[in-house]
Amino acid sequence: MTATVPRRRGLGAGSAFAMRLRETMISRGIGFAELAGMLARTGAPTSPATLSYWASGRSRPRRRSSLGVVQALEQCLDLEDGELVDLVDIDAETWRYRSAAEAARLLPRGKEAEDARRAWGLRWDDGLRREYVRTALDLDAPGGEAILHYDVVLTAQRGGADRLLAVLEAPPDPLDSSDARVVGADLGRRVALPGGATLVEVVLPRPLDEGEAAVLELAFPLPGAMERGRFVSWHMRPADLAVTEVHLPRREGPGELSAPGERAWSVRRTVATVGRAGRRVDEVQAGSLPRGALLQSVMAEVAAATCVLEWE
Amino acid sequence: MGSSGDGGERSRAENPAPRPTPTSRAASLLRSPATPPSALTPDPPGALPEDTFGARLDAAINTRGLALERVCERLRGAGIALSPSTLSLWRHGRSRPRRNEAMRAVAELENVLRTPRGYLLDTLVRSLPAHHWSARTETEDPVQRVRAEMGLDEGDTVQRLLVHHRVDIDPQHRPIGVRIRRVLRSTRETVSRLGVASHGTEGVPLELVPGHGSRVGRQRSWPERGLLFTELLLDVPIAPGRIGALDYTVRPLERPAPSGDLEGGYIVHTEFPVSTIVLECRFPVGALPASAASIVRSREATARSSAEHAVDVGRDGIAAVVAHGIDEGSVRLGWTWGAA
Repeated sequence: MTATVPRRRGLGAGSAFAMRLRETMISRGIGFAELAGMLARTGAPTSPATLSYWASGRSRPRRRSSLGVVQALEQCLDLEDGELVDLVDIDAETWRYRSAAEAARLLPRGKEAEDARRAWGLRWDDGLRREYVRTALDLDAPGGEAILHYDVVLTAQRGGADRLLAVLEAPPDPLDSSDARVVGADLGRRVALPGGATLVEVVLPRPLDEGEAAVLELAFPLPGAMERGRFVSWHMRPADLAVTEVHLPRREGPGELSAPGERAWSVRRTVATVGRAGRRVDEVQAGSLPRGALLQSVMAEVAAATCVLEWE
Repeated sequence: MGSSGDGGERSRAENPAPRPTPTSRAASLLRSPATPPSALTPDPPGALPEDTFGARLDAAINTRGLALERVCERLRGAGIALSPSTLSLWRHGRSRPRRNEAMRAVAELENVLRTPRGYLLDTLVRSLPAHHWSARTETEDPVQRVRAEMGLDEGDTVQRLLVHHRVDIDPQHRPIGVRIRRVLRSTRETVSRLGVASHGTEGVPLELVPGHGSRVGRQRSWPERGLLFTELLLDVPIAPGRIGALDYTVRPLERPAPSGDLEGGYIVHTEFPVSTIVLECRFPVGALPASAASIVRSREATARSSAEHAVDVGRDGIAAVVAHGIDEGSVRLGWTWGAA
């Protein structure tokens, strides 16, 4: 098999997308006509001429409809999900299809989580759009016990999507506690990550149809969370909205805020996100909150993120 | 009971008496006209037009004198991907930004085009012009009067990123509570309180229980109409450009009589653009409806998207529907109980 990919030195030839496409085709020994045939079979027909333009950097995928073609290219060329999508800037949707590499750049335990994902044979792109992820630590639950909540609203971007991975800032044991509550899903495999976190496989009751919505809620006791004074949320996969909350204890009955002169909580929010632009953004906010208040951080349109909430 | 809504978002349980989709636009009434943005800052010079998003965008681009490609280039510099063709469609009023991402682009456009803050965004969060006002609907909707009295017209000061209603149904087929979660971005002013209107069954008084982070301020109730208006005070105000999330639960103070109806439903209606609406109904396991279906209506929706779609009621009794980019419209979940 001979690859007919030109090593062009011209306008735009150095663009990262063109270079990656060109090099992958050469290393796989796949020519334009063959690649076009493979794309057609995956339902993303594209002409050899267009592919040639893309590989030479004379043009690049711009239309919204090209996003599906770029994803199909990743499959045909046996690349990881998002490896080519990371390099194009098609439209507002692109950020939802970024690669594992972006998350790994951000997450301190990204490598361990990635290793587990591969060992479990799961695709990086789980086919689920996270409309809303709420990670909350309730230090004011009626029983007096700290409770970790993980609530997600999902829609399926492709038919057959049936599971997702979550990193929770808790050791694996509380997930098996008799007080744990799981609604809308079952917990599958899990592995402890360094530093007291757990990677959990969350399995939906059945594969979703494309566009179908699902709601899931996890809640389990997290002894000692109050004393730690620190709570972290992890987002490996893109989320439209990611809310991280700590419900600080109230002084007394519901609705009571701090009495005059009472010491308030010193709090700090540290957010690190890879957003649509692919850049990492870090933000630290310190301040104080009255007793019984909600320590909260809301992130929108994140490709990957961590949020650390601290109180004392 | 009921249901709840606020600002431009309202909803109604249809159990026990199924009702047609409410089409009232009352929530947009009595909104004071927007401050002329040209009065806020002297830049750009000259009066900018007041009308639609497209006209404002067109005027701002002309005033700034930048080619569309240049505008998009500068947006890209701020990490926003927007094509010149999309910008052109917006400018000529052939489409308008509705998605959350697009709203972000519009906020950045205001910087690039050096318009007064909110000049472009305001036309998007305030979707209805003032001429919908009429005295008749004013007297029909006491909530609007109270909202105006309390100065709680949030119409053009917040962008609604998410509205999630979770309706709990009991084994007697009655809605027994609605948990509402909202995610908002403040566009111009610091938001420290919100007005929330809750609609329930006529004759049944409602109570609102705030979640963490907010407290109940002033309240007005019209139990004969199944109506409750609540001022929610946020412990931590949402600064301009920032996002906040809050939740609260609305419950009937007394349970309505068990319903013998074979059908039920719940509708979330919005007068303002909402990026994402989630409507979730939770049925008791062991008393699941025979079938459920959703209808999403939006002002700019295509015929296909406003068709009825079957919704699966899952093993855990959850039926959920998610709708994006609702301009002004509604999301409804309806269900049928099997014959007893």
